[in-house]
Parts: sequence; structure tokens; C-alpha cells
Amino acid sequence: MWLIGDREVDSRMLLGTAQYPSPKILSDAIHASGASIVTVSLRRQAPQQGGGQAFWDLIKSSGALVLPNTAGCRTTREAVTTAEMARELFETNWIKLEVIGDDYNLQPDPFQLLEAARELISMGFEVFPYCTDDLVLCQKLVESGCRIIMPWGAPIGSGKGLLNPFQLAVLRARLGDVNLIVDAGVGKPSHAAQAMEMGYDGVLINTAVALAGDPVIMAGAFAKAIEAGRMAFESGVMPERELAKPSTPTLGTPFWHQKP
Amino acid sequence: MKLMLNGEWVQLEGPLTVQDLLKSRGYRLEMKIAVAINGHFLPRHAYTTHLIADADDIEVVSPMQGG
Repeated sequence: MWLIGDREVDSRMLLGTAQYPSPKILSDAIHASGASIVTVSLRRQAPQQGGGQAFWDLIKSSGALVLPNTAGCRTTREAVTTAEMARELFETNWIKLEVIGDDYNLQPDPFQLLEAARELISMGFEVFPYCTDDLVLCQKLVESGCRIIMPWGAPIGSGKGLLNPFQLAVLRARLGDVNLIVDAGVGKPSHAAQAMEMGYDGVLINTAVALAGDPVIMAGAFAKAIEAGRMAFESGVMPERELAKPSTPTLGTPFWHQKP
Repeated sequence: MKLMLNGEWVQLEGPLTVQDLLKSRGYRLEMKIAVAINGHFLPRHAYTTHLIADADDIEVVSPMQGG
């Protein structure tokens, strides 16, 4: 079990719900992943299209906890208003806080992000901030009341994996009790396993599953990688060595002869 | 009056509440929707009492897939 945002969940995999080939494949992928938490968003929709009801019914039937995001927001004001709408709509105080500062790589704006986090926490939200891997920013987010930090592995949707594992390790070492979740940039299960082996508490994946050749099988692959990575972390990974050391006992090696 | 609804100008006869506006544009109140006016969240309980002003900028959003 994993305690996050005052909820106990079984899976350390968070799954995004966008870009799947069909609602059926999304539903099957959620099931195959075993994810306890799925991310959703808010958008303008024509009422003639049902106002997102079909999608909402699909999510409810999955039984997963819902983590709404503020994707597309560029200012503190936009993010706070979106969070308030999400709280009413999805009946949760959880919010994945995204405030984008750069269109080219969808990099979070750390200044607006911190301001929005402070305001939302004062309003009773459980803020899951999507942020860069800057230590001081993450420390300030924790000081503002964030109990969960979600640094990027790489730019959203890039699939490049953990571009700066050194910095992610620094965050893990310095933010002891904080729930750390790698969000964005994960491309394949080995990336997720790498994060978990480093002691990260969870991984959020969307594009790598949704755009896989078979999203349902890939969802299962990620689930196994995340579980394996966590087990490896908990069991204690051996320290690296610079030189070889035989694993087979040298004592009793055949063909060895005492020198004359 | 002229108001902005989800980024497009709309001409409507006033006065009207948010509930009036939503109904006139095809929204049903049982739908999963949330509203912001001029960049500020408007809670659902205020739909029947909040009067739309000329040139208001209104957002109506619904659940959507997201990452």
C-alpha cells in the first residue's frame, strides 16, 4: 500500500487518459495497468456532444481515483480558476498543477507555479505540482505545503526517459518524506523502473502507453516495471564497483597449480 | 447584450442568469459542467442568482481526457 494525499492506494502507477485510439482501449489500458489514480482535464465542449458525460462514466466505472490537471494554463490566475472548477466538477481537492512557461518544450513556469501552489494550498487543495527538477524550486514547493512533488523526467510527450538522473537522485536524497513522482518524458518501462529503483514513489505515464503499438499490453508492461523497480529499491540495490570481482568462488578452481 | 461564451461572441436578450444562459445554449443542469466568469470560478449554487453583465467572458467546461 502507498499513502498519497491521505489516500491508501495499491499501485504506484498513475495513468493519463489522453490520446488513446478509442475509449474501449483507454478503459482496457486502465484495467491492465492496475493504476489506482488516473489524470483527467477540463475543456470547452459543445453540449450537443454530451458535455463529457461518456468519458466521465468511463472513468467512474474504472474505480480509479481522479487527479484533475490544469493543463494549458499559463498564469497563476488561470491555474487557480481551473483548479476550482475541477474541484467542483470532480468532487476532489486533488489537483495536478501545471503552469506552462514555454511553448517549445512545455517547460513549467517555476515562478507562477509556486505562486499558484501557495494560493491553492491556502484554499485546501492537495497540490501535485508538475515541475522541473530544480532542487530549490522543489524545496520551496515543499515549504509552501506540497506533500507531493512531480519533477519531469524529460519534456512532456518526448519519451526521452530520465534526462538528468543525477538531479533526480539529488531530489530523492534531499526531500526525504515527500512523495516524489516522475511525471512526463517517460518513454518505456525501463525508464519507469529506473525512477523506482532510485527510490521514487511513483511514476505518471500517458503518452508512452497511449501511443504504444498495443496500449493495453504496454500498460501492463509499465505496471510490472514499476512494481519491479519498487521491489528493487526496497530490497537494496548493490553498490557499484569500479573493478570486476568474480562471482564464482576462486577457491578450488581447477587447473590451478602451485608455482614451483 | 453581447457576451463572450467559450471564446466566441454571442448576442442574447438580457437580463439573464447563468442558468438562463446555459439553458439557452443547450446545456442541461444535470450535465458535468463548471463555469468561470471573467477568469473567476462561479460555484454551481450561484447559477440561478448570478446575473450576466454585458461583455462578460464566460467559460463552460466539462470532463475531458488528460495527462
